Amino acid sequence: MPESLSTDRPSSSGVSPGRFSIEAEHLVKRYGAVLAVDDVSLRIRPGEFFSLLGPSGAGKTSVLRMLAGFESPDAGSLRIEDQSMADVPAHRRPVNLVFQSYALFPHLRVGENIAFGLEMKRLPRREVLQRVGDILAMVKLSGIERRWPHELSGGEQQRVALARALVNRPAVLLLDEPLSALDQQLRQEMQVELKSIQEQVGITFVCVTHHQQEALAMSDRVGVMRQGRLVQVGAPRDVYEQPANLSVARFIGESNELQGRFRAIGGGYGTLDSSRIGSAAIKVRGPSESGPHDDPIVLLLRPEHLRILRENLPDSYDNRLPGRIEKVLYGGHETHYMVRVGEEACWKVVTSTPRGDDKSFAPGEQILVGWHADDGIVFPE
Amino acid sequence: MKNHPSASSQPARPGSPLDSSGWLLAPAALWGGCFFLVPLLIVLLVSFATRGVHGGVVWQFTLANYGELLHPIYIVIFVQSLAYAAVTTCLCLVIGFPFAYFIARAPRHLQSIWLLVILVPFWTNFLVRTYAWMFLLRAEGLFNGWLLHWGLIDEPIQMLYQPVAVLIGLVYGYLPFMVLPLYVACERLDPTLIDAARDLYAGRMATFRRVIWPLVKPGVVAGSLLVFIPAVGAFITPDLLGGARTMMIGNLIQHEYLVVRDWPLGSALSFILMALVILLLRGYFRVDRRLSLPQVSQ
Amino acid sequence: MTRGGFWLKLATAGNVLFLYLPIAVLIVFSFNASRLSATWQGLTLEWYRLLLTDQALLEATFNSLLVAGVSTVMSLILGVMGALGIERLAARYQTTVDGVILLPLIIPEIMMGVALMLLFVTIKLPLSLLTVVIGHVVFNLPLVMVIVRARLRKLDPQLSEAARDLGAGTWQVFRRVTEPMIRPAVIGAGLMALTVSLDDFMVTFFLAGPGAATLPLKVYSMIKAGISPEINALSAVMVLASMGLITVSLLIQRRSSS
Repeated sequence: MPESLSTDRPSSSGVSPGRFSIEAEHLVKRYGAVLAVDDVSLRIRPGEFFSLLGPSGAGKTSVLRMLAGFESPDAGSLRIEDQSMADVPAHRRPVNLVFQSYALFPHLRVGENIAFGLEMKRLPRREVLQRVGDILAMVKLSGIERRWPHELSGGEQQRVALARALVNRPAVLLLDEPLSALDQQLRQEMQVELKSIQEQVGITFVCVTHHQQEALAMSDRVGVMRQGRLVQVGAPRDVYEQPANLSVARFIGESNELQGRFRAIGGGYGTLDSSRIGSAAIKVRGPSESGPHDDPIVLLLRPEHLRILRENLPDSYDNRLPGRIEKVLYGGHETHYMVRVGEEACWKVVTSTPRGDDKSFAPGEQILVGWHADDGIVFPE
Repeated sequence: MKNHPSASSQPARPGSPLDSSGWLLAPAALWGGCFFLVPLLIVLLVSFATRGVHGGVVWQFTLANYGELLHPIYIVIFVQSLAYAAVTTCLCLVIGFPFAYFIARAPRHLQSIWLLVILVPFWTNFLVRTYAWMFLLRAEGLFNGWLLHWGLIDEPIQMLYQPVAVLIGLVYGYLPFMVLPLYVACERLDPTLIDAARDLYAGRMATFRRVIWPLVKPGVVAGSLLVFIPAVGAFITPDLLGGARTMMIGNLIQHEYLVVRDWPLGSALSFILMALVILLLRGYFRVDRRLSLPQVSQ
Repeated sequence: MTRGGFWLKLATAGNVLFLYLPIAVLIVFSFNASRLSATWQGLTLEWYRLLLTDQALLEATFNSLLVAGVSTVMSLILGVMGALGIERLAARYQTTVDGVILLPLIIPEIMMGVALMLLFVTIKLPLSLLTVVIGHVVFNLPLVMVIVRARLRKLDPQLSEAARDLGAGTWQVFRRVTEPMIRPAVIGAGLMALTVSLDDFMVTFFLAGPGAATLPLKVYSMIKAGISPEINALSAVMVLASMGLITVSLLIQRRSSS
């Protein structure tokens, strides 16, 4: 898999091979008996916005801490800007970290906080002041140098933490759950802003997050981690639409699942027989490597790929399954329906809210759920 | 203020006279007044009185007692006490800081065990702890025994009744007073701040100087005070471990009261000692307010 | 971190050795058969037997327990009342009172001893166990107040308001709501006062009249008379007693916090 990582995006053709911001090969990190990072290899290009996405405990923070130099890998190698990081301590690495808790020094004013790294590098006073002023302007907080960190709001602290790291012009900026302490509204604003700042400065960003929407929205590429392993790397759209395996699919986005047995019908398609929804045969696209007949498979359906249909109307859907509306959750621009399609199967369907009462459905209503065979994702069980 | 019904300074409900008065405080206040403030006042008065022929007090105003304290003999003892207390404080800080830092960084469930390790000597009788050092340092003691045994010395070294014995005793006696506030300060220090400093190119020394030290300074000041104040007024340690030359203010006060029976002079001495302590504390509270001001957590 | 970690561990080991070696040696040698030598001459319980037959020592122990017990009870009664009283004061007085309470705890002990002695001489109250008890209450009272006050300040004032709302009178609020919630603090303060009182030498030194020796005074005069294995044995007993007290207080704290 590592070989394919560097070539899955056409824009990389302009970059000479071997020139990566980060090259991690077979990183391993253990904490006692726990294998936190299990053979992770990763190449990140200059100027890329890369996110490591995974649930807590997946090992993504350990990878980040190894990049920052707070932990050393038990095995594997790490190069940043073509320099081996094997014996380079945290304070000599060309990377800076935006901490999850911001870690602003409470005894230093905002200006002193931002100047800290520059002063450690013994830059002349005038340049320090100049750069602190410039970076504060970039994060839209001009003139707050004299304030104390505790006087700032959460969003402002976040920007100061970002400024304190960026002002050093690192080769790589590391972000540890950068938006997790912000409320929903601020979080979305900051996503846009982080992305635009990154485009402005052109620095490689490596972001660790468990928040999939955040990762998908901001990143050029996403690496999905589970149980210490890097299970898939790709553009956000690829990861969402073609998850590498069932666990990635379950972690990213919501999905309805249906277990059954596969029977090929030719043309790359087959049928799924499931005891859970009665006798109806469902048309599915075959698993990538078609095994023998009667393989147990799982069909995954994204809620937004399903449509609710009134009965007996002509349409073009490959599959139609009778169901009964159980719950309707009105959510403004979209509406969520819980639809019972079998004894044990209750599916979620998301549609954009139609205008007018007549086009919506009411609980108890008998309907059909329809979808295209190509929208289903099939995994061997 | 009106909109804070749950503020702790809740005024009493009307119709409940019991609550509207602080009469519950009266007995304690009376006790403190009679047996704390009045005695201090008496000390102050006696320090301006004249010594009687047979050791009593003659109520005749004089400044002679304070004048007498300017005699070099007393000045030397004062300076010596301050020096002992200062060196003790520094030693406790140097010895105790790594210990406190280590405990604060230990896993939570071990921290309470470590604190217990400090508390056991802390709660052991001071006399017993001082005696323990007499036992170790005396000519026939364990240290001399070992040194003789290994052939490092030919005859016992006089360790007891030396200034160094007093210093050891003072450090031993007051080390927990230093470690406990330091531990609290280190424990409050967010370890990600240290990571942040290292991430921002600060080496080990720079991290300590620029981040750790300023943030634990309130604990350092508190611990230093908790060591310095009892050390400067120490009596038992110099009395038991020190020789004739190592007299401190505490011994001098005891000497004037119980041996020479010059109460006015003893009172003047005590008062100077108390004034010193109160000055130190005033300074502390001023510094403490300044140090803790920017650290109000969000 | 590994390099720093090593020095930290070394320093910690040094601290533990420094704190415990003297006490450990003391205890070990309390079982040494030789009266004078610092070398090991065989195991004996002779010194402990001597302690039990020392009439003056037993009397001093009794005096110590009496003084500690009486002064602790008095300090608890006055102190809990006082802490509750401070609650009822206006906020601006509370800060002042909180500061004044600390004074007896921070002025040099010897100062407190001589001041009280002068008082008793002035009012012609002969020095005895009574004057010792009075003196011990002077430093135990603020101790109790500080501890109980800290606990009271953490209590949610809405709890007593809720009790009032449900019809409880002042005394009932105290018995049914306040007292159960401050009980761990009161017990902790009591144990603390007991320990401090049992340990006190300086104040007692100036206030105990003839025949009113407490245990620390007795230990002091024994030490002044010269190093002897009886003192080692006595020290060992006292170390074990204070460890016992700490264990009890920790157990109580743990039970009340769970």
